[in-house]
Amino acid sequence: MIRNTFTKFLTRSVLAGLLVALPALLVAQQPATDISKMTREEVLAIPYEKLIELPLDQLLQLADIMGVSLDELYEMILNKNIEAASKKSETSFDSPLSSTVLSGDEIRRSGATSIPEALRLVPGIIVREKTPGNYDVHIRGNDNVPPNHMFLYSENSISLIMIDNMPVYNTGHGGTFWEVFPIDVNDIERVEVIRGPSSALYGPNAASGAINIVTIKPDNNKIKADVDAQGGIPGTALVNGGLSFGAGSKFRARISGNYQYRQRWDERFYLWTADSTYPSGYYHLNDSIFDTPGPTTNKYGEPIADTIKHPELGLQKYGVNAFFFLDVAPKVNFSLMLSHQGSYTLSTIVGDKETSLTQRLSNSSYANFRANTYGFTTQLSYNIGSHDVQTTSDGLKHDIADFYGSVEYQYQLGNLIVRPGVAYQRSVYDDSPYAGNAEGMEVLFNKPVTIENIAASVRLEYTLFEKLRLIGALRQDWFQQPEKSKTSFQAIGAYKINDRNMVRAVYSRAYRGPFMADTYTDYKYDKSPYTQVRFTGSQNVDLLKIDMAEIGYRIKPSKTIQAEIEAFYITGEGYGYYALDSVSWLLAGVRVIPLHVKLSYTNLDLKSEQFGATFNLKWVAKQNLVVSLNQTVQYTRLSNYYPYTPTETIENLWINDRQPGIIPNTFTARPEQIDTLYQNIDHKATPAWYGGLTVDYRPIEKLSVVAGAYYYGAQTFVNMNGTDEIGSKVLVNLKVSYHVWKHGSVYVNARNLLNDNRNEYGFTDPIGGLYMLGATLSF
Amino acid sequence: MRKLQLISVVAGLLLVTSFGRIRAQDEMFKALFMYNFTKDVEWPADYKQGNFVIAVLGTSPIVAELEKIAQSKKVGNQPIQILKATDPAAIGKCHLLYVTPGKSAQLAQVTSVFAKKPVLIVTDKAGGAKEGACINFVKVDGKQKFEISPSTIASQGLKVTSFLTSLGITVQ
Repeated sequence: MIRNTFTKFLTRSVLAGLLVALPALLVAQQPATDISKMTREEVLAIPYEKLIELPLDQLLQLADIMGVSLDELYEMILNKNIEAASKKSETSFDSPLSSTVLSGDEIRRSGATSIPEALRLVPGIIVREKTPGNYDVHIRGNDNVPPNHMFLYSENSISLIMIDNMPVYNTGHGGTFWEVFPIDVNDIERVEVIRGPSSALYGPNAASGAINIVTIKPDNNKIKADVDAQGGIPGTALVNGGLSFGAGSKFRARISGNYQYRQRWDERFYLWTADSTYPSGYYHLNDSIFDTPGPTTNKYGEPIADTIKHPELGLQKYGVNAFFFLDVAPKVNFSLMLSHQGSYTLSTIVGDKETSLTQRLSNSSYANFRANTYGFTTQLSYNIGSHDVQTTSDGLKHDIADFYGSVEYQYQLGNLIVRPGVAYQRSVYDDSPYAGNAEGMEVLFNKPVTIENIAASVRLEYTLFEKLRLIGALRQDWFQQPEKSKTSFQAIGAYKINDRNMVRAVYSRAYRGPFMADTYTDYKYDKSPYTQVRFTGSQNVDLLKIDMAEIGYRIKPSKTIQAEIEAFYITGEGYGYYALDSVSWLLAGVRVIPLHVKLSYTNLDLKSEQFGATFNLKWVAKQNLVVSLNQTVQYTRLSNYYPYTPTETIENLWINDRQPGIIPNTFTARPEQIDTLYQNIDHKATPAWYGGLTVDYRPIEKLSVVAGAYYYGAQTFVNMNGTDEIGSKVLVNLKVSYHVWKHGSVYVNARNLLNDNRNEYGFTDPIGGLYMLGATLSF
Repeated sequence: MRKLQLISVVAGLLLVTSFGRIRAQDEMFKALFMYNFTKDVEWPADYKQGNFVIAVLGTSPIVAELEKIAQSKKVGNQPIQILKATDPAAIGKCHLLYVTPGKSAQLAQVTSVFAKKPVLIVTDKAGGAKEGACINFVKVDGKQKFEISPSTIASQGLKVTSFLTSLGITVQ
């Protein structure tokens, strides 16, 4: 039903997109070629059949354009072009926002084994590995807010990750499931990262920033194939392959596939217990605690160990992709990505208490169409599939269907650039196919549920005296569920003092969008033989708002160095969680048992404040040596923090309500009966400092050595089940590649070389060293 | 000397994989340049029959680029043949000889073997045109150019058009 509706919707949307694109296509005319005015990209786009026909004088002109002087080469290393910050190409030095570009070559040379791991190369991103290949990624941090509640709230739901501008976001619970990305490192042309609220540019959820992964577009129509395979210990196999080809001068295509298999360092699972025989800690599934009735059994009394079929496995996934490009004219081009993935990962639970980890199973298919037609940019994305978010519990499997559509138009009037746009998003998740089995299983929604919004935006940029850029971006989102209208914005002033110094200031606001789980849940959680917990969503809550004030300074002290420092102050309010609504009790002898607990999604008075600064520097130290360094320091504070977990709240209610002699057999209490003490606390979920150092060295032409260290300070992870004090950690990484012949190289790749095997994230796996051998072939 | 340093520094920046791409593009342009040189150089009548032989001394990605040209193009009516060689003395009859940078130390031997023979000697070596090459590829501020020595070309028994001479950096 959903799919039929969406198929119709998609058809209409594609038609609408084509209506925008086709008129421009029809009037597209091949302009007369003036070689002297061509750009590098335009030269690269000339098909070989035309090049070979050109006379020598014109070839010399083209070679001039393609030629790279030493200064230009430094610029290519230090000052790559970025499009995400202004929705037009500009150098990183000129970018008005805190932003970073990471090239696909840098990623592959570094030895990063996955996209989230590659983000450790980006300043201002904290990346911690939960289980092998499964990462927590936060832009600047501000994570695990609110604490002392479900594990779910530690997921990063305030960053928007995109593949070729297509959001890949879990609207069900909020956040990014990195394993459902159908692409892998070999598909990446570059990764563009914006730190700071960016909803004015990219819509809801780009609250702490946005990451756009740009995939490879073949340079020409030659048939090219590449394969990269590596494997090692603990049992790990990673394979990437791609084939690109084209026809004539206008059509290019690339197909690719990837596979990851990652075993765990340690097959134990963390258990929270209150048992003196079995203290909280890591246990094997065959330990006797898993046979003991209680927290390690599901609601049918079955050991959850039985539901985990592969305790040795951290991640297994595959993805296949097809990319098509049609360059009709210099300002008219189209692209289409069709992808599919299937994935299994051992990740953190949503909210249960038995173990910290659960299995997540997903399969999804993607279609992403983009058209650039004389200043119009049309994007239509559609994603369908199913997610089983927590296989160790019933009721968390659902079918997904996400549609994103937008049209923007950019035009320039003298020094003024104007970019208006409209956007539409509709997500429909349906768990009803998985409800109502003979065992009375319940699901979150038991019907198709929808999150939908339409938006209008405009970005204005005015340049004064060729040095001062004044930028204002405004976006109005009309959300349908809950019915809210929100305004996101960016106000930016960027002053280029000279070619070597630039200062900028930003004030911006962004919103996190609503999620199905918060909005529609009507879920009976009855794991205990006595207590029944009911979760109820709300369509009348406010959305999380993130505000940021930021200043930045970029400097090129010499042509071999580029550095930047950015200082930020970020506030967040409008947080929410499932708060205790009411509880009813049963007095059974001397014991009091909560019979019915009702939790409702509720806004909190909680406010977060984050102060911090990020410094980064890139230095071409020698002809064959490039050094990159970045360091972030930050401090997060929560005010109006309610310090009790739901369980503690129930206990407090009991204590406060107890009046000897008058306890009825059953009674009902409400949380406002508690003498609550709201607190202001230091929030230490994000380490106070983190960063990385990379040394990229090529001692001889055929040998490449990339060594790096990613490090972070101590952190305190708190949720409703407990507190995990996690020490600082330095991850030393090394990839040494030798170019054996013109079509191939072999390499050794070590991640966490020193085998520091402590866990990096609260209550998750110990993460040790990964040692691999690999080979790359390209033809 | 400064130019030489510059080339060496640029060649040293091998870290950057994009530089690898740049170098691949350089090889493509050099091959296309060489194909175009043949349009503006005249060989004696007895060299206008049979295959047009382009010899490459040493190993270089340029061979693949030249072979690609040979698949679809001719010099006049002559099919193009690419000959890979490691020893100048073993090359025999050819029309154009490209000496790869790795073999540029053998330029003196090359000029000796092919002295006064109608062979267009092309090098990729700083100062190559002054050491006996007819045409020498150079990078000027990162841009691909070529030096041309009309007198050396003439001494090889070849004729060159003023058009080609005007496009290069003339070396006497």
